[in-house]
Amino acid sequence: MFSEEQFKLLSEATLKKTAALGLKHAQENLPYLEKTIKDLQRELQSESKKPALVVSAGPSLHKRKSIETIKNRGFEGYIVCADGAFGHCLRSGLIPDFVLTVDPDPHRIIRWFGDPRLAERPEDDYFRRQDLDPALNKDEFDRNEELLKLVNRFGPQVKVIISTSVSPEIARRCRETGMQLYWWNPLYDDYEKQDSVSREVFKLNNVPCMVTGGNVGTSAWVFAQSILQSPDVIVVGMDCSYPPGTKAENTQYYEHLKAIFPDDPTKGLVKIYNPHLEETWITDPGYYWYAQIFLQLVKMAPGRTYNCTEGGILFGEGIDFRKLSDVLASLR
Amino acid sequence: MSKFLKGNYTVTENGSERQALQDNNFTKVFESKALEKLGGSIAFVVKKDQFVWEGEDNVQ
Repeated sequence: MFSEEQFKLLSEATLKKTAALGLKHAQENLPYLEKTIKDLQRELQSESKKPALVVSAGPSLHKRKSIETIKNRGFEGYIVCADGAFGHCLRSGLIPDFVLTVDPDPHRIIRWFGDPRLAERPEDDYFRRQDLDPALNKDEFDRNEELLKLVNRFGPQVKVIISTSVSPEIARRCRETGMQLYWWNPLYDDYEKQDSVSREVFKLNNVPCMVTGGNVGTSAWVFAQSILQSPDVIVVGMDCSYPPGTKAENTQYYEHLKAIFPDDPTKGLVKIYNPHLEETWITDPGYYWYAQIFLQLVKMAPGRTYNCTEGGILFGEGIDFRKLSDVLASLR
Repeated sequence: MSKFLKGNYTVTENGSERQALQDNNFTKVFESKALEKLGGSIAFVVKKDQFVWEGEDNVQ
């Protein structure tokens, strides 16, 4: 298993990888800044607190047909989705109230919103390999056209909770579709440190900094807990792992693990038994780190958390691991 | 035969990395090579059990 020291190093490596680009994008996004997540909180102040359903893009979202269950059972609360799950929600006829985006990657992330410049992007097989939105695995250009139209059509009904770290192309795309933008800064590091990136970006734009959890799905959950102040937060598609039987070559970091362990890349993967499912799932260092962060954050959360992914490795103290249909029925 | 196999430069090796690979020591390899590529989508830190920080005196 992975040690505290390894997680610390993973955290430092992620800061190194994302802070400079995030800060550059924060500067480039300055002309687009209007409302922030605190403005949203004020706008919602007069409304009664509602439960939230956070849709992440893990493989169980598709395997368990979570969107179908939500539509069939009904849900009277906020639908908050991670950018990677946005296309799947729209294609399935579920329009989220909020979509979160945070990753500073300059080329990939805009694809979740439909990329008007797809033909100009550098060659990248990421979307053909990823399991976040399998619809994009083939016929990339056709599926992109479809998503462009869907986001153009439904954008005005969606509020994007947009991090200053993302490419300004995403800000422009969201504005063009008529989405309302609410900005936030990722809390990159300890703001009390002398050379803190969080402090620097806050001084630059005066936008509130929010804890990320290392990935957009957890950021969406943090948003539901802290800004929406939902008393009950349901998460779906939050696997932090790969289903039983997944081949090593189909895991996200396989190419990197192969470089490290050429004789047997599976040495970089860990099997975790989930007693709720009585199944053994497979995880890698990145996903396992996400799960440990979530378990740390859930202890600070004011609202209850239900994991209705019906898959994965995200279970433990503070998380009610339940069937989605049961929780939807109980919250009625 | 040995005179034909004499090297003409000194090979630079990362001894600890090679040893770690030979020992299948995941920790050493993980720390030395993998981290930058295996990192998350965005940096993460949490401080004083706050989800949102808005400058010096306004925390949530």
